[in-house]
This record gives sequence, structure tokens and C-alpha cells, in this order.
Amino acid sequence: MKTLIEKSIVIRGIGSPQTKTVFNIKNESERNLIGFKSLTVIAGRKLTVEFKYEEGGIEKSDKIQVSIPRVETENEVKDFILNEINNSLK
Amino acid sequence: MKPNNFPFIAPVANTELYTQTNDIVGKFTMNSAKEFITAPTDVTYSELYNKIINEELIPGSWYRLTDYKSVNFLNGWQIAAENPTPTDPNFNPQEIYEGEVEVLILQATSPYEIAEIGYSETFQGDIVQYEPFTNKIGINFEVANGNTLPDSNTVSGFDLKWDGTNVYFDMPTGYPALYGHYFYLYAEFQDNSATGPIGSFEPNISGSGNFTGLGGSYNMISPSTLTGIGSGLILDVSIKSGVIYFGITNYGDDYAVGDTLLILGSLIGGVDGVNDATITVLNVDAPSFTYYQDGTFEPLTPNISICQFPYSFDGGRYTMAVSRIKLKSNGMKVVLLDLVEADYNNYITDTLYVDTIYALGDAYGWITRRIDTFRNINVPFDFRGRKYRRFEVDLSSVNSSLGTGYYGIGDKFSTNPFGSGPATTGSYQDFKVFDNENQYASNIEWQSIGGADAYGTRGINDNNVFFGQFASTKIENLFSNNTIAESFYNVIRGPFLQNVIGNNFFNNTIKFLFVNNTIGTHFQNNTIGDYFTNNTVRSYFQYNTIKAEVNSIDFSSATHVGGIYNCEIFRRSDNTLQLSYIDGTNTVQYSAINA
Repeated sequence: MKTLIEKSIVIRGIGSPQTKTVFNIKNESERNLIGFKSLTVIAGRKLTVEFKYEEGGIEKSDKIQVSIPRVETENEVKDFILNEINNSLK
Repeated sequence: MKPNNFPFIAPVANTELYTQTNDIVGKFTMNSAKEFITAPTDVTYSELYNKIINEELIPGSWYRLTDYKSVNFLNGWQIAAENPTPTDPNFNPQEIYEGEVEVLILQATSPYEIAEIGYSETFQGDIVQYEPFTNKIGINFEVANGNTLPDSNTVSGFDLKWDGTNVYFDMPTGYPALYGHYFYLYAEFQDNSATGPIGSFEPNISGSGNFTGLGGSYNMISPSTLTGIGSGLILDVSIKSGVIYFGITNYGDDYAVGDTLLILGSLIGGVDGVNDATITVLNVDAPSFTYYQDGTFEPLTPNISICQFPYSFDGGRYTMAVSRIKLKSNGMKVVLLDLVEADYNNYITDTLYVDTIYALGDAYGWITRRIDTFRNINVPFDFRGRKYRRFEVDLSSVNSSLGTGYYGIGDKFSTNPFGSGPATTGSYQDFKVFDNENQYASNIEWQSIGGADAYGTRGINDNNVFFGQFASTKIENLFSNNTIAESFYNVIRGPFLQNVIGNNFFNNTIKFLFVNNTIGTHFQNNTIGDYFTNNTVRSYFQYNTIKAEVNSIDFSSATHVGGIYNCEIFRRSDNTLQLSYIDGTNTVQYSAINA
């Protein structure tokens, strides 16, 4: 069974790899920091999403290319990405 | 005559007048400068900018810039970018402050560059690092197809193009790329030339042809290769109701996406030339198909801009770095010099994305570092020319121990933990960065980069005001939006922002986030190792080491953190915060962190 490590998700194409998103902030206060971006900025774009997952106690990495739907809220984008990744892990 | 006591020397090769003497510290004045700066040419900023863009400077010549002015957002760039709704008549989030006119002495090193080191005629003793090509001040915006621009238009057709010589793209109308500013570029490419076995994920091949009237299964079929170099594919073929289906027995090797293969009609129960099956390869297993242009230019420069921070990564298969950029048509055309037609053909539509700056006002070049040699101040921004606005607020509504009379930031504390923030009293004042500078500001050295765009690693030393003691301080990283009212003798090695320090705060090392705090009186000799956010600190919060995320804790009635002994706040393996200290019998004691 493959289990996604959600904190490992890196979305390419929104700045430095250190750019913070809801996937890799440590707490909500980081939203106020320089370098945090709402996922709504990627709505409508084709992007590569990199992630890590665990399988049989071993950490592995993979990436998928996805077309992000045009939606209004960050949670909608987040849920879409999580769904796409989890589908790829089935 | 050579000035032999000159501490910083313009880097002009083969010019015998300039000899570096790092071992002797002298004081620079325009009187000494006159001994070696001969006949500088007076230029206005507009004239200097045009000479640079048109590559008309005379290398080695000196220029006397007669109308330099520093500009900055009066309430700081972050508030300008957030652009909150004004709640005070004197608060305009995007108001630009323009400093007094200053005369700078600069030397050309090429037709479009000046020496990194220039001099102030107005403030004798000052040395400046000056970017002459930054002619706008602005805030960030993001460009990708479908994005809404600041003028409410929607971006479309924002994709890579090919003009017969170069790959390029056009900026949206009214939003040119700006010299001197941050420019992040991203695009994805699909390299269809990669070869390997037929892909294991379907759809991997497709078939076409006339199979009317055919049926049945045919095993171990080896298609011949029409285009490409692939070989070894072995298929099991079945035909039902005029539709052909494939099962792959051997995936072969050296196939590429788009390759075409052939199965003669006679091999699948039909006639050659009539019932032939043409197979198209849809994907192959190869190390990587996708590559990127992904990196930051800090900043865009005249002539050719080089990406200082390339992030491109594709697993190592594609080795090209982020392409160099050349701006044309006043910044409306961005040419990617290192990409070729094959890259243009590989570009994936709608993946181009740019994060950069759009202009809100004019600039007159940008001082990225100013050194006051008399007071030993060396900071990555123009501390002489900037002013920031502070609005008086009653901080007792946030922390009753503070009393009144302290200054807030902007017209409200626009970020947590204050929500809408305490109301302003109606009073405000515009401060220089180092107020009372002749009394207090000295021996100050800040590292980091002082760019025009105020984004990312550039321009982060913004919206600071110091009007009390502030000395012997070294800041190596982010430090912004603070108002320091009294003593402050610290080393900062990480983010430390949006704090109001009401009284002494010294001998601390901040190694990571320490945000949105209000400090009442003494807060001394502490080490912040991780998050320390949104806490209420009692008077005399001292000698503590914090090694964990400590959030929303009220220390105002705590005993140990206020004691004159060392405490450590840490996180246990069960995720519970704990405080430890050593008692009078040398026994380690553990308690709740606010006990």
C-alpha cells in the first residue's frame, strides 16, 4: 500500500522550491510570511506536482503533471491535487 | 596624486589612479575625491537611464547624477502589496515617499554599466552601491493564462512563441518587464525525442486501419517500424466488430512518442495494403519526458540578464539551465536567449508563468547599499532617503502592561494576532530609518541584498524604524516591520518580524521565526530556536532557551521564565511542551511552561 506524505508535496512553477504552500507550512501563522502563496494562484494552469510516499516502510518520490481546474478557493485546489496524487498511487 | 588612505576603490581595470588599500581605514570626502575624479559630466537621471538602455556610457568616464532621489512605500512594501482598505484618513497603503535630492558621483565601466561603488556629494563620507537602471517602484503580480491583471483584464495568449530566431513571449499590454526588479519564470516542456520501451501505463499505443469484416486473435505479432528506431515490440492482437485491441507481450526498446509502426493486413486475417494496422506510440518509459525553465532573475538588467537562482530540475536528464533573458520593445518582449526551436516545439501550452513587478511609481535608480564611513553604518538599502509612517495606537488594548504612547504599524496591525488591530488615535509621524541618527546609530552592519522589488531575498530590510538605542547589531536575514523603541542589542539569524518592542530586548539570538509578539519590558538573554509566536510575555522574561514551537501562551503570570535562572522550553516525544530548570540542589526540575 502506498501512503502519501502530504507535507512533502511541492508544486512547481510558483517560485522558489522554498515557496510555502498549505502543504508544507508548519502552522497557520506562516501564511503571513514572505514566500507563502495561496494555491488559487495555480488555478487553470498545467503543473508538475512532486511528492513523496511511503510503501512497505520505504520512502519513495514521484511526480505527476496535472491541469489545475479554475476554482475560487484554496481548499478546492488542495482537494483536487490530493485526489490526483492519491489516484496515481492506486 | 593617488589617495593612499582610501578605503574603497572603484573596480576599473588598468587605471593606475585606483589602488586598493584594505589595511588602512580612511574617511572618504569629496575633497579627497576631487584629487582623482576628473571632470564628471552632469547628467539627470532620465539622461543617465537613456544612456544605459541605449548603451551609450563612456567606459572610465565619471558622471555627476544631479537629481537622485530615494523612493519607498511610506507604509512598507508588504502593506502596499496587500493594499488593505484604508481605515485612517492619513493611511494610503500604496503611497510612495520620495526623498530629498542627492548628488551622486558614478563611474561607467562599460557602455551600459557603472561601477558597483559610487559616492555621495551631498553626504560626504558616504559610499553607495547604485543600480542606475531601476526606474520604477512597484509591487508583485503574477502572469499566466486566465489570471486577472491589476486592471481587471484577463490574461490570454501568454505562451512561448518563435520569431524565426529566438524563443520569446510578450508581456501583457501595459505591464512591461522592469529592469532592476525580481522576475520569476516558469514553463514546462515535453521532450518527445526521448526513447525507451513502450510505456507500461495505458494508453501507450493506438491503432488505426480498416478492419471491417475481420475478427479473431493473433498472437506474437512483431510490427515493423515505419518511423523511429524502436524495435522488439511484440503484440497479441484481437479484432472485434471492426475495432482492433492490443496486448503487449514484449515492450521492446528505443521507441519515441509519435513513432509509427505497421502490421500487415495478412498477419491479422486480412489483405496487405487494405487491412494494414498503423500503430502510433503514445508514451514510452524513459527517465524523464518533462523539463522546465524555472528560476529567478534578481534583478533583470540591461543587455543580458542572467538567472541567479535556477531551480530547473528534471532528474538530471535535461541539463539546460534557465535561459538568459534579453528585454526588447521597452520590456514588452522577453527573449529567452538559450532556448531553440526544438524547445519551442516541446513547450506545453498554458504552462508559462511569470511572477514579477508592475510599476506604481517612478524611481531614480536604486541604492542597494549605503556605507556611512564616519559612523560605520553599512546597510543594504538607502537609509538616508527613506521615511516610514507610524500611527499612534493604544497598545494597552493588546497588552495592558504597556500603557499608552507606543506606535503601531500602518493604520492597523494588519496581520495576526491582532485581527483588525487596535484603533489609531489620529496621530501619526513619518520617521527616518535611524531617527536621532547622530546620537545613536553607529557600528551597524546588515547583510542581505537590497533590491528594488522588495520580494524574496531582495529588499527585505524594509519598513523598519529605530528611534532609540540600536548599536552593535548584526542582522543576517529577514527582519522587517518592527518598531524598536528602546535598547536592542541582538544577533538575528532568521526571520523576526512584525514585533513591537516596548522596552529593553537584548543579547538574544533568533534563529528562526519569532513573529507578531509584543514585548512589555525586559526580555533578555534568550535564544529562540524555533517558532515563538503570538505569546504574551511578562515583564522580565529572561535567561530562557526556546527550542520548540510555542504558540499562544500567556507567560504574564509565569514564575520560572521570569526568574533569574536559566530555563529551557522544549517539546517532549509525546508532543507536549515542557519547561526545565535546575534547582538549588543541582536537580533538573520539569514543569508546565507557564508554571
